[in-house]
Amino acid sequence: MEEKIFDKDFFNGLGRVKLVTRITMQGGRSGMRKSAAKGSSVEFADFREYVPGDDIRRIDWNTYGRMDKLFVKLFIEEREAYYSIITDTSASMDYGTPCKGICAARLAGAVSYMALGNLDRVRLSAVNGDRIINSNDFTGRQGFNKVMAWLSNMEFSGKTDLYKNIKGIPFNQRGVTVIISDLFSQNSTDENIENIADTIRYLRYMKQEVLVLHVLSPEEMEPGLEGTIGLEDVETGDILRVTATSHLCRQYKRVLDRFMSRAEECAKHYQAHYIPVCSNENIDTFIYKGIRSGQLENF
Amino acid sequence: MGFVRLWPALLAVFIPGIILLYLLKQKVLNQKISALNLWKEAYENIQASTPWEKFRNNILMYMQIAALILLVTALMSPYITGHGSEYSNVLIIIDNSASMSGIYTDGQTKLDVAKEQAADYVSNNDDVRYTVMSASNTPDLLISGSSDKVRITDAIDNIEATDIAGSLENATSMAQSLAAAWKNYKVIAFTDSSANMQNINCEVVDLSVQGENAAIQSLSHTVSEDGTVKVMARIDNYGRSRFSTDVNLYMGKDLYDIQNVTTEPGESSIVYFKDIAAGRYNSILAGSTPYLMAEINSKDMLAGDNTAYDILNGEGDEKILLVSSKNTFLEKGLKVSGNRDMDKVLPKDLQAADTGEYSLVVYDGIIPGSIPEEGNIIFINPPVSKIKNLGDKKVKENDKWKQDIFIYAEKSKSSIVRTLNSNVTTYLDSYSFGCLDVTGFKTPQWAKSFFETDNKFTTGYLGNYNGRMVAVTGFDLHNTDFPLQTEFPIFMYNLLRETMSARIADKTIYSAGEAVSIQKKGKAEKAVIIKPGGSRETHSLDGGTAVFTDTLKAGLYNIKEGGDNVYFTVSFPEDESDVLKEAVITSDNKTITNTTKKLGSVLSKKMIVFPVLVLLLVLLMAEWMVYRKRL
Repeated sequence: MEEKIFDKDFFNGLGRVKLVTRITMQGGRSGMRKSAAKGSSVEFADFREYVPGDDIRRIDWNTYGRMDKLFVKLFIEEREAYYSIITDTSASMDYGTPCKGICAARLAGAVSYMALGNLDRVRLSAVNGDRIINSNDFTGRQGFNKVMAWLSNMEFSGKTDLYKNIKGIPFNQRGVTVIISDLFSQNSTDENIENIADTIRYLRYMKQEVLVLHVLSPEEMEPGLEGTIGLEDVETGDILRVTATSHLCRQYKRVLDRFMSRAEECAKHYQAHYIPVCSNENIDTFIYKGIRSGQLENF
Repeated sequence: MGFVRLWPALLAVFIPGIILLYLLKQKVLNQKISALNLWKEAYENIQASTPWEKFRNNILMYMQIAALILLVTALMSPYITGHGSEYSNVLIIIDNSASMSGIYTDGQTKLDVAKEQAADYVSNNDDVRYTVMSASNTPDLLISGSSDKVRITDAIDNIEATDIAGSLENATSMAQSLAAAWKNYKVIAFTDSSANMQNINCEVVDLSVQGENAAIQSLSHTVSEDGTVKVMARIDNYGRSRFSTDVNLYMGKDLYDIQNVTTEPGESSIVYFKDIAAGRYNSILAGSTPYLMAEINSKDMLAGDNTAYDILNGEGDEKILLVSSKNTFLEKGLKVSGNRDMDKVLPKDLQAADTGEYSLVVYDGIIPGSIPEEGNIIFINPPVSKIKNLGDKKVKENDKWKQDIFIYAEKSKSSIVRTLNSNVTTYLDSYSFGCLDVTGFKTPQWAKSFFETDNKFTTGYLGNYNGRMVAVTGFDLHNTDFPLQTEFPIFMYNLLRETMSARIADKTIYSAGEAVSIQKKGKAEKAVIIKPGGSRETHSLDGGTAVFTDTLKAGLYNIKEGGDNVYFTVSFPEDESDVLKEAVITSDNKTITNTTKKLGSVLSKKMIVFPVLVLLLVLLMAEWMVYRKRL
């Protein structure tokens, strides 16, 4: 990837939004996300009658004045969220103008940037049919440099097998899993959708809030093929000889639209979030789509 | 849209060649895509595996195929049909001669088809001035330069079939005259016979069809010495196969005999009917229907020639009285009348003779004191002394007839007598003979001269005088060698034919279209003609004669004049019966069309070769531009 992934424009928009999670965190270090645990924070949770041993600094003296009983104020423990960002690095992602791979890296970087800015923990995974590469956990703003370095070194090759790969990633605690992929595989559409469903179901089982960023290139969204051509699959090298006509292109568009809507339905079915992204969209468009889907919110 | 010629369509065999060339030269470029499965699904959905899909985007190939198609189309001389005609004047000629009454298709005669097609053409072509002509032997201009379609269609519809023999020859001459005045015209002629349409922009619609036809060409009878009558008819087979039929013979309206006859193709057969007994024959003659009718019992293409009539004119009733001192020449000459009874009487015995019972009285060298009440008269060499001064003095009422008949002019010692054109001098054209003592007359108004002297006076004339035929010759047959010439019996035959009886009609057999001169007989004031269809036509006889011209249909005609009842027949023309006769149509600027299609769509065409060629040129230029762009 010779193109510069992260430029000045990239950071401009991201500073204004933050990631939203709907799950409460358990475990992990303290952070800025609500958790099931009670602890010290500014977020009031409940009152409880004082029992010996409680920190007397938490006794609510105003209540004692009114009720003549000792009550202790409980506060929500704020923990960090754990973001697993899984990027599909199969050969099919190294396709399109602009390249889907760069777009995927930018999305991963954007999510990482927002997560790290919110004192969350980020782990990057690059998966393809052959291997899984997991990064270390990144925390804090300063961790973003490492994220950038890691993403820049991603290589796109091999086939896609999302379900098989994701099972190789450890999910030790609740968190948010972001899948950045074109969701293409060598299987039929039905099998492919089934594979996506299995993947999301597995992640939900692993107590993950799932966000699917479906990345497609403009060529895939609006194919402008013409004449007799051999369509060569970049992952398998298989060739399909067709005479590309406007009719065929329209038919392909219908198939693609149906595939995307089925993928979205599948995501919704398992309470996952689905955002389609075209590789020629800038980061602002992504932010807009994120806010619309409820995954991002303005500060 | 239609095409003048179809053979260039064979060039379309090159189209697969073009397709094959493109099929062979197809280069397939591989293009990488991220995943095949969606494309596979799309491809299967449209079943894109057909080979024709390969050509969908090959615009050059389509252009080349289109160019070839346009070239082939141009070679086929395409035309379009529409409501606008390219001609400002259209002359429609419809042949209504006898053969056009033949069957063309089931239930339709050729004339019906012609009328239908012509009307269809008229209704399909606007902004045209139409001239409509029917043509049998002579052309009949029905509409001239009209755009009123209702009038034109009515005129076409009212064209009636005739039984006249004819061709389009006269109509062609007339068409050429009319066309000379038109800048932009077309002639459409409907006929089933030969036509010469050279030097004229003519579309000949050939309606000739071949089929089976038999005709009765003649029906005749002879009376034998014992009074029995033999009747025979000739049946001609104009078809391609043997024709066997029953032939019915009617006496008047009663069926008398049926005979079967078989005729080979192109041959004639004679049918002899059962002899008619003398008594029966005489009763027919005395009855109101003195004619024989023969009829073919089988159906064929032409119905008009399946019936023939033979009029029994009752010649046995006619007697001649010759009043003459002694004139062997005249006596012998009168013998050419056949078996008619002839009585001779000397002038001195004339008073005793009853002239009333004779059809014809011949006065040789005398003028009677009074004219007979009835019958026709021939005066041979009336004495000059009795007629010389008739014109100058008042005469008695009883002698007024002499003043009417004899208008004396001169008496010459000798003269060359020349024949003039008349019925009496038929076959004696430009004949002359020398004669002594010739009396010259002025021709009375009621008569027509047939002999002329050197001084241009008439010395022989004939006419209808008060309902009787009167002939006068102004010389004695002894003073000329005329009776010794071969022309004499011809002359006598003609003279007797004209004067033998007070014939209401000249003949008993007429050709279709021939005018019938109806003579006044006795004191009849009008003649009623009953046509074959039963319709009647009345003619006044004020001028002594009437001319009946509506003899368009073959069949039996009946003239009723006073108490007389005369029949004549109009025969079907022999030439028109020949359905196998090839119609030779000569034309140099036309297409010859048959009527498998409606003429409205066939003839109202505009050639579109030029627009097609322009389109071809544009297409070739566009192809060149596309080719250059692709380089």
